[in-house]
Amino acid sequence: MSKDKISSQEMIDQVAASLSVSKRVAEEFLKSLFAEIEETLLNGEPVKIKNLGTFKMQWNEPRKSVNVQTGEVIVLEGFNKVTFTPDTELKDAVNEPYSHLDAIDLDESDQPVSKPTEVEHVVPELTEGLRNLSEQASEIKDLLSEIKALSIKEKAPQPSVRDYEIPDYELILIDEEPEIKQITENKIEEEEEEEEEESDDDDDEAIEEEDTIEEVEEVEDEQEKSEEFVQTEEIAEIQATLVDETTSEELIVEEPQLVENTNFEQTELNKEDISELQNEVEIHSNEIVSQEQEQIAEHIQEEEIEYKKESESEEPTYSPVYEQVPQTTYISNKTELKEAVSSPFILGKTKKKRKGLKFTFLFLLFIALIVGGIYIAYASSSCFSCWFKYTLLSEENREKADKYWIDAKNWFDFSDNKKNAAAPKTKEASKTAKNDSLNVTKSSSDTTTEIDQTSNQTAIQAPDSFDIAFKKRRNYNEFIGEETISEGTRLTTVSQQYYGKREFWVYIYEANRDNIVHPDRITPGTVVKVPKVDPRLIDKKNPKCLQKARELHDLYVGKK
Amino acid sequence: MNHKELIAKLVLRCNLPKSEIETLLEATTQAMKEQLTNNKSIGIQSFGTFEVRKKEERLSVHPATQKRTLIPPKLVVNFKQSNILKEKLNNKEL
Repeated sequence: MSKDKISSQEMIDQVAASLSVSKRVAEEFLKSLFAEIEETLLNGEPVKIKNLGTFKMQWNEPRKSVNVQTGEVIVLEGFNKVTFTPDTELKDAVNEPYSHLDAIDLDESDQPVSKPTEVEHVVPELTEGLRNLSEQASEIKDLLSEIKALSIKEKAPQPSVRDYEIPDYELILIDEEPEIKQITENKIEEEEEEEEEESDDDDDEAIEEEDTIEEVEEVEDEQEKSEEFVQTEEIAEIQATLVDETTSEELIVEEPQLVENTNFEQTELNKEDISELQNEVEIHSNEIVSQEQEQIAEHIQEEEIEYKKESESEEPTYSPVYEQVPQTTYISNKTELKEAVSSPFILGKTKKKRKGLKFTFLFLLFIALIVGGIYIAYASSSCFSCWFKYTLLSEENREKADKYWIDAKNWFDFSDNKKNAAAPKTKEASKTAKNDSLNVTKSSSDTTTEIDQTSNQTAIQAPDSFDIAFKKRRNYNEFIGEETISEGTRLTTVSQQYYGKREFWVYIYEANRDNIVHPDRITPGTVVKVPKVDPRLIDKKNPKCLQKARELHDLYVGKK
Repeated sequence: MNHKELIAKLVLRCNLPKSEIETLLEATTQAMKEQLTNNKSIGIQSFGTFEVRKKEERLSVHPATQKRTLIPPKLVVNFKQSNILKEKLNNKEL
């Protein structure tokens, strides 16, 4: 860059011209100026000249280099160098032509360079979303297939039931049921579609879902009504269950009001109500059957438990999935009823009446409990468990639950006992083994056994106390002496002096951590306080103490 | 050594009044600045040369944030000591 080089002579001329002083004076001045700078620099001092900059002497460290031709490693010797840092004024003046330029962030201006990375970040997210949707869709499909399978099952036993029915109502059944099924299926399909469009219209979805809930409920009502027609003409036995269903219907009638509140959780709760109500209905039907056929009852109980599990497990997943659960349980309920009907169903009238009374009573009790439960759930939706208890664990169910609970408890207790039993056995075994060994030694010589015993005891006791002392956090509050570190003295020597063993220097180090940076590099003159350490820790004769001290030594010295 | 100290020393060295030294020093720095802004290098015998160098524009990447910035070109003053000065400095060490 040096286009024109001005010599010192030219400089002198310039200075002389600007100040209109003789060249001689200017020359003398400049020479003396640089001589002075040189001198001060040689003294190792920096020179600062206003509006010009700072001269400094810098020591360049010797460095290794390679001879390019021979490949030899050569050492360049260290040297002093004068550095000049221009003053900001000079710097700015010199940099005038480029002063308008600023540093540019390329990430902002150069989009094509940074874009690919962004795209890479975005793509996985999108695919994840799609994957989630597809997973949900597959889940829904599975559920649909399950429902369909159940509905087919339902259809199969129906003719046998209808044989007993009065032909007038058959028409209603045949006409109504398929329609309902179609509607429900359509609804479910709609829900599926909605789910797929989930990301697009979340707001709309919420409303639509609510609508569908209401619609599904209506469908359910219709279904139940149709069933009622059938069942009323069937047998007096089922009257009780019928009444139950009417109650469920009542509950469902209540539901839309809740839906109007648009409180989604509460609608969900009510859904649960229905499902559990229906479960209870199942229980009733079971009870009827159980008196006639214990086997079937057992079978249904199993089913019941399964369904309960299903309904409970599927609660937190997703509302559409959840909506389907009551339907499935409902269908199962139907099938069970049909089983009950197809089984020897004609009973003595007196029995029926009694049972009817019994069930009406029970049913009233149920209503009271359910209403209470709903009220509590409604009043405080947080009190979920309370509501659960009230609805599900009503008298008989409670008894059953208790039974199961007790069984479960017993089982667990048993397993625990087993473990406990196993543990003492091993202990006993070891004890006996010890005794045996002791006996053997006794037989050889009584005196030695005594010694052995005592030594054993001490051996057992000592490590325990030592471990406790070691695990306990060591606080150094008391000091037994002070030591000034001079050249050559080490912590080990101090340790030897105070504790009688070199290994215990670690405790001195621990106590003086504030002063000592590294145990190997203690600056002479530092005062080291010798702490009072638990005598159990610095027992020279105990190999464990030494071992622990060595462990600490490795830790602090950094060997590891 | 700062500006004032330098002036005080020069007063002793040149047998000139302090005010004159001050004006002279100011004139010198001004002249140097002028020369350098005119993109001319200044060679002072047995001391060294001042010259202006152009630092080309470059890309810098922030090591932590990976942010790339384009540093614009700039002109900087560079001083190179003369061999005489260098030898003096190093001989002093020895």
